[in-house]
Amino acid sequence: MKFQAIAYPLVILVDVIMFVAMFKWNAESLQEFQEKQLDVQVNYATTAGVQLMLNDTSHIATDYADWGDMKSDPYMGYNGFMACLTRSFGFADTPENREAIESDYMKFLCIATFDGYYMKQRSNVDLTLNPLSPSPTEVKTMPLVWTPKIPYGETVQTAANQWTLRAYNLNYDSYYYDVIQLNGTTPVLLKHDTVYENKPTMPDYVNSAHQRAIVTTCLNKAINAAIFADMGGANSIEYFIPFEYSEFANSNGIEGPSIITYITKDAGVYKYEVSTFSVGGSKIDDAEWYICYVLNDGRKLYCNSKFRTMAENKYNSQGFRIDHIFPSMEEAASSGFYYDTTFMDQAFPDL
Amino acid sequence: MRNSIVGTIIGVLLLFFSIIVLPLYFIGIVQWRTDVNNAQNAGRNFLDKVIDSSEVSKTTIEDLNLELAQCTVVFSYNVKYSKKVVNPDPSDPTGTITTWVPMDEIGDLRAGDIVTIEIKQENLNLMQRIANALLGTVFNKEDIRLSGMVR
Repeated sequence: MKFQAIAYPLVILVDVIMFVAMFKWNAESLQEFQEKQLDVQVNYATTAGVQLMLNDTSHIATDYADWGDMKSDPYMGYNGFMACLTRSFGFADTPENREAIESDYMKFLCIATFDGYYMKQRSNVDLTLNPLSPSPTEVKTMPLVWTPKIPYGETVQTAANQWTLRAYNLNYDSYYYDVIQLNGTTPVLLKHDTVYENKPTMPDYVNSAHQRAIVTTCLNKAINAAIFADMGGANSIEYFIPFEYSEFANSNGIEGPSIITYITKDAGVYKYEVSTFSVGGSKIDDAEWYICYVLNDGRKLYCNSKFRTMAENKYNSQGFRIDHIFPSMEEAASSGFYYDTTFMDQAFPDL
Repeated sequence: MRNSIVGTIIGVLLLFFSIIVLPLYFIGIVQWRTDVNNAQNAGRNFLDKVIDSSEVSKTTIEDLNLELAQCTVVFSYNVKYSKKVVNPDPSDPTGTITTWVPMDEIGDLRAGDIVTIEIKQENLNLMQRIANALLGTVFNKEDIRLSGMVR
């Protein structure tokens, strides 16, 4: 009887401990699943954004150089990324929901293009120097804002108040110098050129590995500053992007246009947070061609070139005349042609 | 040694709890982990095939059905399509407006279209149901939703 009196509580205790441990394990299993799910969702979204940015952007002259067919419109990247992410989260794709995702889940969104990068981040105020800076709680409620395009560059001090910026592009084929005079607190551009005779401490030539390192350093600093700003200065973790992130589809994160983001999300009833860091790259594949045609009544429409015969038959009596052919829908639309909804839900004809 | 009725009842209950309910709960969680990972992989496989090949073939659907059927719980799924439409921006002569229009029926997928697969867990597996009936244990029930853009 004495033995029973000790054994029962012991068995009950063991059962309770086992049950609590399993309950905890159950919660951890859910967290693992949700973290994996978030990771997959964001990876699909970053890939979609870069794909759209590279394949479908109309040609734009970049701010610092113009390489003819090079295309990377950051807004297209953002648009594709958000379109995918809202659907993955089960939200309707509205501006309000996009804003909610940004303010609640997103630490930053970095869009790295050929000759510089854009950051969408919280106001990057210096909390240590500016006494009028908002409190960390206030910073977290601020909406994300875009920075202007920032070139990939390194700076070297050449005199007491003079700095040289050397900027690169992702093709590693050119760079330029900006010589900046620090006049008080206002920087003044003294010289902008691809040739700088009196190079101070910089080497005469720069190999591609060094340029990659410069680009990585720039993005690392920008990302850490953005996370720092988001956490109101309370961040003690530093994130590093691996030099060679992935060999998949030649999409090394920092060797081509990329979308980099950090998403955190409260999940479930267990009050934990799941997070993911994603670098998405893509490459330009074969283009689909779009024919643009004008009808007698003045309508300007476009459709996939595979529907050409069907379009000819349909609009034969309306003066069907092909006006242009473009490799993307965006270029057709930017030239004033509208999407022809006639062929929207039709399968491609056998050619 | 004298047998106590109360002690015997408590002993039987403890034995039942230790030998029956706890293992059921444990096995239920293990099975749930396996099922939900299988379902997520099935969703990823489906999405990868669709966005890479730009078509929803019969084989792709069969593979998805087969993978989900191997799970111990019942999963249902729903595939949604959003067709990419680009039109000129009336307020900007060279600008464009890109939207994704939800479609019930889709002929062919084209680059830029978005495919979403939703996999929903409909019930609990046998072990979970028994543990739930005996002890009222709560189990996870998660939906899987993935979206990808056709390449």
